[in-house]
Order: sequence, then structure tokens, then C-alpha cells
Amino acid sequence: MNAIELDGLTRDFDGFRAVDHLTLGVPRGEVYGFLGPNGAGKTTTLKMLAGLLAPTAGRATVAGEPVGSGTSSLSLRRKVGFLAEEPSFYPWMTAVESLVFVGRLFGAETAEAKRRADELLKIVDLAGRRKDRIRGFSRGMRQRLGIAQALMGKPEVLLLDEPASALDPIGRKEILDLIASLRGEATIVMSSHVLDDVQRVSTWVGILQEGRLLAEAPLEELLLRYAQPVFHLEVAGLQERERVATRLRGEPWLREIVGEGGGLRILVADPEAAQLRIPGLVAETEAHLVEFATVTPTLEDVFIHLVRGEAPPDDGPRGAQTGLDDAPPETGGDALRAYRDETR
Amino acid sequence: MRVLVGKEILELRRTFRFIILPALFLVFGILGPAVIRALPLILKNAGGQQFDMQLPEFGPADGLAQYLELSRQMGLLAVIVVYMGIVAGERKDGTLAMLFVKPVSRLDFLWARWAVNGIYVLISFLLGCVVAVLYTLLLLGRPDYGAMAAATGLYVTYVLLVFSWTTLFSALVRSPAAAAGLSVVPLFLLGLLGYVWKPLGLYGPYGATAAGTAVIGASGMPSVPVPGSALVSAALNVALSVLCVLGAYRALRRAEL
Repeated sequence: MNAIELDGLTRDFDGFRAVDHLTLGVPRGEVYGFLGPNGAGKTTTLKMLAGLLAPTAGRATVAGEPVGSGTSSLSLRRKVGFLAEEPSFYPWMTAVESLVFVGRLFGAETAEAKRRADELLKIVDLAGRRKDRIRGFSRGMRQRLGIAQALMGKPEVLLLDEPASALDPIGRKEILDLIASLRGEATIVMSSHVLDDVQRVSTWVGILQEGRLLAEAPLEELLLRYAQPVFHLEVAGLQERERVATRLRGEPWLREIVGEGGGLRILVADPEAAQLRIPGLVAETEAHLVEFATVTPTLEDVFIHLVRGEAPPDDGPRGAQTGLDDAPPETGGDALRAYRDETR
Repeated sequence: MRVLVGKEILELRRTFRFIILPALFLVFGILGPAVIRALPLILKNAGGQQFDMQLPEFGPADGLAQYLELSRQMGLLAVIVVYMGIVAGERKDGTLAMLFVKPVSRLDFLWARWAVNGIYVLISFLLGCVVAVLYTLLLLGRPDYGAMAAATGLYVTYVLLVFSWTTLFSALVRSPAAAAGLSVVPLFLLGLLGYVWKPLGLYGPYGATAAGTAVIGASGMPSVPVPGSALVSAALNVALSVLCVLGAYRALRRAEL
């Protein structure tokens, strides 16, 4: 059974459609990476699921509770933890007071709330600042405190909007590890425009663009579906590299060969034939082989395919069900350029 | 609800509100009787030899009336400025969204915020009253305690109403400054319309304060018993205050954050 179900969820803002008939399901206990460029509709969707925004159309349930309007039921909010992209707190509270306050709102006794607050402050590495006023906290510290606050009520569903966006590399790793460690305990929806973050912790991925779902599948299936028969080849010396490239261009199974860093990226039509033949062909050119490996696809490759509106490779392995047929044509290039600009 | 009330009390203790309102009303409590005591001397010095105006004999009632007047004008403006962000400020800071994703009823939030801060405003006003009585006793003689208590009771309802409509406007608009602007309008309009249309002046919200001044009997006028119209006005003020909170809830219930 899915922890979150969206059925045609739509949200308009003054004539602008931010979320467009979103239909998806998040299986219980999974970490669902909600991926898309800025303005794709991720935050709006999460806010609707948290009950802060009312859908214009469509339905959604979170942990079995219907999501309706701005006054979503208390029983829904007991089951959900939410972290906003820029978490807000009462600046005059201390870190521990803030968490105890939230714990008590969830019905915990003061002693129990204090115990859990201390536990969570340790986890998010703020134990040393527990008695400091939040007014003096940096953005990264506020984000870590926000995650602790979202966990205070032991939620069944955790909605995290860009949870690592303000963190330094170490803080980022710690928070992503924390999210990964919650896998199985809670259902987590984590929005991000950082592909690497999503790939690191997510088990399921949904890719959103202009309010529409381009694809949704378990991460591994999605990667397999968009995996291309690509090899990376590296030989010693530039002249040797040119010689090898010239030699390979004559092969019938070769589709494309381009320079990539110090080596070559080779896209082939018949991966088995290529794998067998390439080392021999390199030897024929008398070049010294440094590296020869199959390229593992990344979420970035999948993302680029999807926003360009490209179909999965014909001869790539099948598996995932995607919503590619629904993808808007001709818009991927613009979105990709915008995405690159934003994330640069 | 208890948790929210606790949070409001802690917020009061930790922010500037804890000092500013009691300090302000306290200053008015000293200033009211002191100004009345010093007024003949001030006018004489300001006018020099040309000063030839007959001043009424100022008494204890004038000291108290001066405090109430200062509170009604400057004090209530200060209440509006301090509380213009009571809801709008939380919305602007994002803390309202943080709170409303937790199992918190919007009505509970509003009641707790209104009740704790409303009581605090009234305590600040009453503190000023006590100080005004003490200074009146010191500088102008023994006041009529019964009349002062009755006048204070009538004023309290109006102070509560001003605080409550500030809460309502703060829930209706997103900007604290806009909430303050809207809250100032009825503050001036009610008094003005009361002069134009007599029934509104007597039974309307402003009637309680006008009657309060008459009950004390300032400016050489004799003290009068509390008129029935003042009781109607006071009851209306309390009822309107509750309606303001319910109106604020209605606005907040539909608010998207």
C-alpha cells in the first residue's frame, strides 16, 4: 500500500498552473526523491501534502488521511513531519525549547519531549548549541534544527523541501546519511534540484517539470531504463587517442565517438560485440590501454533525456514504467538550459 | 491549548513587549497627575505678563482624567504598533506555516495569542491606573476611588476592543504595517462619528470612554453615576472583541501559507 497517493492533483496561482494533474504513488517506507528544476512545482506539491495549500483540483491522501484545504485535519498533521526550504522558528527560543515546544504540540509530556529533543539535537550535531537562542543560528544550523523539528513527532511521512540546500559538504553528507538511515522507518519525500543528493539516498524517483510528472520509478529501474551502451576508453598519449578513434570509426557497431576528458566516450549499437572487439582494436594501433570500462548511467543522464523529451534508448534494458508519453514535447531543451543555469 | 498559552507567556518574557507597554502606561500614570499639577505654572510661565485667562480649579479628578486621556490617545496607538504583527508578523516570518503543519488548531492558536496578550495589555493599562491614583494622591489630593474604578472599568472594555480589532486586521492582511494602518482608522473614526451621530456616541464603542471621563467628573464638572448607555457601550465592546477574534479565525482558517 502506498503511503502517499496523488490523483490528478492540480494547483493554479492567478492563472499560472504550478502543478498540473499530478498522479503518483509513494510506497510505504521508501525515500522518494522529488526531482526537478526550480519552479517545477515541487514545493507547491509538498505544501499541498502538508496542508498549507489547497489543491485547485484532484485528490491526495497522506498516511491514509485525505489532504483537503488549508485546514487539513489534525489527524493528518499528527502523522506528517514537514521541513520547509527555509525553515522558520521563533528566534527568541533556544534550540531545545523549540524542539520541546513542538514535541508538546504532538502531545508528548515535557520530560519525554526533552529526552527526544536532546536525542535529536545530538543526531543533527547541535547538542553543543542546545541552550543558544535560534536568533544567532546560521542558515545551515537552522536547516539541521528544522530536520530535528520535523522528526520530533515521530512522523509516518516526512516531507523535506530541499533539506540539504544550505549545508556545507560535511553537513550535507551527514543529513543525507540521516535521511538514508530513516529508510523503512518513515516514508520520506525529499525534493531537490541537486541530482547527486537524490541519487545518494532515494529508492524511488519522480521527475517533475513545469508541474507535470515526466517519470516515476524505483531509482535502479529508472537508471536501467535510461542506461545507454556506452564505454569509456583511455589510452596514453593524445596522438594515440586520435589513432584509436580513427580505427574505431570504421566498425559497424559504432554509433558515436567523442572526446571526454583525457579519454573517449564510445556509444555503440551492439555492446557485446564492442566489448569483445575494442581491446583488440586498441592493440592493433599499438596504443597503450589505460582504462576501458562500461559507463554506469547517472540520474543526470536520465534527467537530461527526460527534459529533452527523448525516449529511452531502443536497445537499452527495459524495466521501469515511466510517464514519458505525457512529457511535453519541444520544451526539454529550454528547461535543461534553465536548469543548468540555476544549478551552475 | 496549554502549550500554546505557555509559548505566548514565554514570548512576552523574551521580547520587547514585556517592557514597552507597562513602561508606557506607567509613564502616563505619572505624567497625567504631574501635568495637571504643573499646568497653572506652565501656562503662567509660557504667557508671562500677558497671561490673563481664568483657569478652572484642578483637582484629583483631573489628574486621573488626564491619565485616561493620554492612555486613550497615545497608549492605544502604542498598543496598535506593538500588536500590528500579532498574526501578520508570524505569517511574514513563516512561523505560522511552521506551526500549522503541526497538530495545532488555528482557533486554539488565535485564542491563546489573543487571551494572553489581551490580558497583558489590560494589566499594563491597569498598572498605569494604579500609578495615576498614587500620583494623584501625592500631588492633587485624595481621588474618588469608586468613580476611578468605574471609569477604569469602562475604559478597559475599549482598550480590549482596540487590541481585538488590531488582532482582526493583523489576520486579514499580510503586512503588519497595513494592519496598523487599518487599526488606526476606527480609532479616530469612532470618536468623530460619535459627535456627529449622538446614539453612536452614547451606545457605540466610544461611549464607554466618554462616560468614563464624566463619571470621574473632571474639569470642574460634578461626578455623575455610570449611565445605562455606558453599560450598553461596555457590553458592546466586549461582544465586538469576541467577534473580532472569531473574524480573525475565519480569515486564518482559509489562509494559505
